Amino acid sequence: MKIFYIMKKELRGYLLSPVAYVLITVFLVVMGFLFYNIVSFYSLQSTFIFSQQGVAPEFDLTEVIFRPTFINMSVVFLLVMPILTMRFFAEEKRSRTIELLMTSPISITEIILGKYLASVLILCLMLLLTIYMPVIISLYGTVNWGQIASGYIGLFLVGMIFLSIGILASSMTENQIIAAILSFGMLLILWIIRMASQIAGSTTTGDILSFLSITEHMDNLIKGLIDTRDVIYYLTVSIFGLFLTHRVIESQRWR
Amino acid sequence: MKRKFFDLFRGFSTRRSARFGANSILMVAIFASILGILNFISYNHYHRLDLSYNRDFTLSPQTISVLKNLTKDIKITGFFQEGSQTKGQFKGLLETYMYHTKRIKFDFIDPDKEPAVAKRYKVNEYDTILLESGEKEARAKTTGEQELTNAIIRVTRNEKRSVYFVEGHGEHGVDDIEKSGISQARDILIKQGLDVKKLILLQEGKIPADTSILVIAGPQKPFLPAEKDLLLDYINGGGQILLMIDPVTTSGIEEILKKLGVKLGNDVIIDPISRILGGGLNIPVVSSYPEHHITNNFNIVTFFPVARSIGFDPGDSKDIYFEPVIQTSPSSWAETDLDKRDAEFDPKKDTRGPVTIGATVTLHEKEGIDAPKEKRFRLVVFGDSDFSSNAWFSSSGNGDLFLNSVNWLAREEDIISITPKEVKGSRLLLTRAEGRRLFIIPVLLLPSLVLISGLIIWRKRRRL
Repeated sequence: MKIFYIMKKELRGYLLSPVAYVLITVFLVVMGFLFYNIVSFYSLQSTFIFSQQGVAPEFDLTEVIFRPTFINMSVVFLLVMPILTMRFFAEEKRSRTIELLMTSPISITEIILGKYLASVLILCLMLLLTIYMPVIISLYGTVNWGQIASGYIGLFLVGMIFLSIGILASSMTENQIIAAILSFGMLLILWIIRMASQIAGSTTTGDILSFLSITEHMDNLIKGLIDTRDVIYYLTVSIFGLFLTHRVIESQRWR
Repeated sequence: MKRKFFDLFRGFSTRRSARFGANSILMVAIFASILGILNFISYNHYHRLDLSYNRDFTLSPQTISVLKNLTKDIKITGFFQEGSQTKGQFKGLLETYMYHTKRIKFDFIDPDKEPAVAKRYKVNEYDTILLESGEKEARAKTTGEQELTNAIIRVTRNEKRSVYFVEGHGEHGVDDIEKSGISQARDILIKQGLDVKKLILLQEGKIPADTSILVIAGPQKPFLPAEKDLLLDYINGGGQILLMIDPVTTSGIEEILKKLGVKLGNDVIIDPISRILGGGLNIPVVSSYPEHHITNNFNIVTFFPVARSIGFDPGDSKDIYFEPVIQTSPSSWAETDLDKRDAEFDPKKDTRGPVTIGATVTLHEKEGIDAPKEKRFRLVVFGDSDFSSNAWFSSSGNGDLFLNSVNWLAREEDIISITPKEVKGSRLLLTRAEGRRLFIIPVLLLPSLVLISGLIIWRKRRRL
């Protein structure tokens, strides 16, 4: 219950500050533009081939439109999520309300989970606001809703990792900007780790690195394959981020 | 006294934080290991749900039953360029296979980074897949399910197939490790799990019943009439022969082939291109291949030192089907004047390229016509034998061509066949108005709705 109290408080904070609106607006504009670009690229190509050969080519629309769109969206998340979470603990520390929270009967775990859930709800809202994309495409052709669902599950899981790392970064500093930069840096490292794994090749190090890489696990989900290994990877990394946050906050009691 | 007290206190406080710090690090380490173990378990016990439209991650029932019945471990090595698209595709396919069996282990080798390994395995091309199980090995060049499953069947089955090399007419020696021998070809066949034996027709008096494939590699002296009869009977009884017949020899095989409508030319192929590549004029270099199962996915060159042309004239018989496998370049020609020192194209007598120097001859295997199964012979005819000799076997694609020919003769190219998945698509043609709407709604309308509602709430709150 206390978790939900914290969650409500944070959600109110989101709704009442312009940051969230501006952020969601920018997110939607960028995504809408990228989506428009991909669709018009294929439409133009079809028109061109149609004018040349008299027959319009057939595309697997889910594959050609939504695979790149989902990858784009995960990249945009990489930039957006740190902004969503940067405020959480940095703001509490700066305004010294963290002492109040710490001395309140609410446990650290509840505080962290409450804040995390609030940001996850915003993530859900952002994902929901992009549902118009498959809906529009389904008006023109067949859309494989199974693959779309799998892609959204993948984006949700990726977002969960981003938010969890963001909270961790926010707990480490009292400056929001530093928190955002820190989480952005950590996410970027998890993102590009795949390159290192490619350099290492098929060695044990390479296997471990590619296991840690966020992008490696997203491929299957975007292609429409839900594999418990990928899901468990995302969940455990998110949980680990939250656990580290707990340690960092806890450490303030004895440092 | 006072000072001592402070020292004590400071010592205590640092010790306190050190103790908590160490405790915290330990907790993080324990928690990380628990999550690590959880992931490790999940990697060994996992489930998959395939929601893709074409069931890209679902194997055919045939493949699944092959995998479920595997009794041997298989090591699969893929020779791919690091980061190539085909590598990603193949890895995805392999992971789908490994979902159904624990007997497959795989490894990837980048031939550019580890040329020595590629050389040891005699791999000359990217995207080659090597399967090893016990002593046996099989090769495939694909990222598709049908080919991979067939290669798995080949590498794991116990049944031994026999390849007989005909001897006694000056053919290349199977055990001869000199340049003119074909011991390298023999070795690769043994690796494929085939039983390689020698056959002297006159001694045996018959073609052994366990013959899967007969190889006649460059006879120099004529076959006796009795031997020719044996071969003809074997063909008519649905046999499989790999014939490699050099120019300027008369072995009597020409007569057998003539009965099938196949004509071996009395000529030598001259290819000016091969001189550019550093070879002699009479070593045609082949770099593009007609559509045929043997040369499917082939994209490396093959060399044929001193080759003759192969023609086809079915005459009255409509039962025989002739398909070219190897054709020389358009700049080459079949020189009939064999005594002349300087070869020159003579439009009256010589044939302009592309000239067929390798072909398959089969009976009734075209769709629509049915011949009794036991009579369906398969012949692969090459107008050259040296390409498979030790001197040339490792040159570029020569060895692969030999191996593919044998596999085709053994009818191993499609032990099982899997219907390719139907890719269903939709058309996407937007009118100008639709395109404009597609821009306005997502890029302008929806975001402004969010922004306006945000502004309203924010302003309301400020007024409060």
